[in-house]
Amino acid sequence: MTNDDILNIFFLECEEALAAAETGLMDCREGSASAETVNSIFRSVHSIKGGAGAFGFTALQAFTHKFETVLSFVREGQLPLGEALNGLMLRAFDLLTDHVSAARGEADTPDDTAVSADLEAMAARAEAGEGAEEEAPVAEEIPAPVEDILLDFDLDSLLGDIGGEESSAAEAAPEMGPELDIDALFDAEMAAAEASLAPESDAAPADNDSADWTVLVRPRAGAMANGGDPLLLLRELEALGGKCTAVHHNHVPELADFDAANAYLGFVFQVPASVDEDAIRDIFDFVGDDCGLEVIRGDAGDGFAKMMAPEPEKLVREERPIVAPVAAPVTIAAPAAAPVKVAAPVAAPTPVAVVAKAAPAAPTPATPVAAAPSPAAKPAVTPENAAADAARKATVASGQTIRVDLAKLDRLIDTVGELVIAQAMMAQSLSEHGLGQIDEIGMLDQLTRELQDSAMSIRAQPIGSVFSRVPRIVRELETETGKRVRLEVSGEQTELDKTVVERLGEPLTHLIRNAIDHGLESTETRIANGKSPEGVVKLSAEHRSGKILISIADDGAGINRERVFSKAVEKGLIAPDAQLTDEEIDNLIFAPGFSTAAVVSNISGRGVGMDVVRQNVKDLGGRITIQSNPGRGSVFTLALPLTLAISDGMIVQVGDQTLVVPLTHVVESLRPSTSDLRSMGNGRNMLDVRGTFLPIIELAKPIGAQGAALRPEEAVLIVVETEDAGSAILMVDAILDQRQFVIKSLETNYRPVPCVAGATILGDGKVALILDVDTLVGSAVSYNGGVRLAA
Amino acid sequence: MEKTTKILTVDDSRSMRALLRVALLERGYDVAEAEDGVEALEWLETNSADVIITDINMPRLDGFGLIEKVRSSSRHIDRPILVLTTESSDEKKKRARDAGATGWIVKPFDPEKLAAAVRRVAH
Repeated sequence: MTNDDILNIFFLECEEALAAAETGLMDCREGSASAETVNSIFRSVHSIKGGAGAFGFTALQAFTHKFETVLSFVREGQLPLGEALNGLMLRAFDLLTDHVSAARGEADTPDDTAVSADLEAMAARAEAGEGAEEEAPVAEEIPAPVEDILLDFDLDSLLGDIGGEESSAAEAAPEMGPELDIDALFDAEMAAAEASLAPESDAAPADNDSADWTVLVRPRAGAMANGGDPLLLLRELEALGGKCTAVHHNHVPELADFDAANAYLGFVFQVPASVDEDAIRDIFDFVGDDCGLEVIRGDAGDGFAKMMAPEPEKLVREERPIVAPVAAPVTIAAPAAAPVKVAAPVAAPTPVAVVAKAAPAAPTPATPVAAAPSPAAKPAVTPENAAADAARKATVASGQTIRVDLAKLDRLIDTVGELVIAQAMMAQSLSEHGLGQIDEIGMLDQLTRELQDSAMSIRAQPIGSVFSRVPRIVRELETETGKRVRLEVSGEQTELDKTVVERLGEPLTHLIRNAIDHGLESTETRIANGKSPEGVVKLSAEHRSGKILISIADDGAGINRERVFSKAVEKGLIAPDAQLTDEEIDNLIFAPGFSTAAVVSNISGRGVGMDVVRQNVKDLGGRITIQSNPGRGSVFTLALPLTLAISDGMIVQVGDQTLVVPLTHVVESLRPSTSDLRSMGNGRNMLDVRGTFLPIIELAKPIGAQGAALRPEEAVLIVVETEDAGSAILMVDAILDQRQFVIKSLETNYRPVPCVAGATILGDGKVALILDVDTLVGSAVSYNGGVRLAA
Repeated sequence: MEKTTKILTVDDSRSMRALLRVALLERGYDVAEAEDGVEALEWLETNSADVIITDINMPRLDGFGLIEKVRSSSRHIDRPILVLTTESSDEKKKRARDAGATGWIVKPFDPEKLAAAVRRVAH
């Protein structure tokens, strides 16, 4: 796994975290937030921060940190949820989304100055409100400190009782440290106040950088709590080149007082001068106050030498047997993992373990690791039911999913597509041999279809991923327009092809902007008209008869047809005296060039017109329609195909060519009667279809088919409708079939060809071109009103 | 050391687990993973680790809750536990220690420091 792989995982997590945070924030806004809601928002932001730090996204990290700070106050109940706070959190969330995009390299780093300042101000307010309480443990998260229990070991008196006899072990150390009162140093009270020791080290000739370090280590009781082991720390000192020069054991108590969980020994280490002081101190970072530590630049000093000198060998030999769990001199046995009852196995009166071995041998603490103050004694902090509740939510939230590379998936779908074709070919050739009635063929056919459906459904994605972007757009528009909007979303679970989902974002955004900016009236107008001051925008998706219907409805004023009409006249799109139905007027807003500066504010009119929206939808194989009710609002409905890979089509014959006409365009097919045909000259014919004259396009010409019917009377005519070019008639020889077909892109396999949307393989193995009806009709009728095809 | 040191990493973030895994495997440690405290405890019922590295903020059962549960079990009472923390303030360190952690790793971590932290606590 490379760093890039991990980075990609991080970005996926960011997406998930953002989605979770947004859901939580919406709950906050709706007032349905629980403690777990805030927790989950916090966790989401926190996890983005963690990754941002790991991958060096400093701007993202800095921003998440500020956001997280405010969230932590919210979580701790120091900032009650309210309108202002919700607003700030949502703004922060939106910026966070931008920051993540910037980290992905998809956008520039956003300017977060204003929101950052607001977050800091909010945090400052929380701090000022209950500043003193800031360090208070969070009931939900921080177990009560163990500290109290640890302090029960009255170290002072414990150590004070022992005192007396000075016996130390030391390796013969030629250069000795400064004069130091080791006893005082190791005294709990003294060591606890490390600052008070500074004068002592200052007093010593310690300003020599080339002198070796003298490191005094005095683990205390807590050093062995929580699975800690001072021995390992001493080994680290050795790893830095340190040598144990003395062990201080005069605090070791009488056996009866011996506590296996306590630490009694002090150690003096000599560490090479070249080692960085921080490197030495870092080793003891974890044990903190549980281990007295002094790091001193030290020369040899007589007093020190005297104190530590007594012959080590004698000491080792003479000293009493080593306590059970304590290490033998050379190799240091790790203290027994299980709590050891110290008193029992020890025969000697005073258990003292002193190890003073030449060179790299390390001393070991005389105490085994024993039961740390039992955590069970701590109050149970996380209420069981809260945890269970959280667990339930987590289970609901995370569906069972796996991530698959899209290319693999497409390969599967492609193969399944081939299988469908092969199956059709086999069925066809079997039937040619009179074997069409075999039962197994029917079974195979059904299985193939099921396989295809399942494969296609893998590519399907809930439309929620697009819908989830809408609340932010609505929020931004609320701010920009000063209108109040309630967004109602339904059908987020409706699934459609991934590609469609991905490309739906832009048109949907535009439609939402349009609905809020033009659809909804200003708050004042709404009140004046007796409507609720809050406008409603409904966004819904549903599956209906093999299509996905997405509608964007507002309860605003509806389309102002007079204004649209006059604008269209002004723009020369229609004649001033044109007689148009309401529906036709409504559709004018989709006309290219319908620049609606007077109608459109700078919000919706950001360089994208409704014609582009329609084009986008059309590119997805869908269509868009409007229903508008004056005074009651408008509904824009998008009808989209379930998938881009499979479509319904009419298989037609034109001379020696077999072509596919996508069914979405087909209105009807008919055989003309001579009386309905009108020749327009130039070889162009029109057909009177119930009072409307439609141009007839002879497909054989642009396609270059040979032997096609030349006269409309001999041909089959298919009435098609298009988005831009109105209706027209395609002239073909015959309609062969109507069925589903798998679309193969010409663009990827060959090159784009005008008027051809792609190709498919038919049951007999032949390749058939799929007509791009929009372009075909558009180019055919556009040339001075005459039929001219891009052949 | 005849036996490879086995480390259980507990973090709800896949990327963080991956970063830990890569860094630890490179240094010859065995790595097991859990997504949160609950999963870690389940794993620990039937397995054992020499060191546990855990994140604090996790759903279901957070790091503090995990430490508490681990420390109250007889099998893992002295198991070294390192917490992943984004802050290295003395207050946070104290909090981690008070909660029963053996040590901590400050995120974002440097693989060397991670290894040093593990070495300092792995019995």
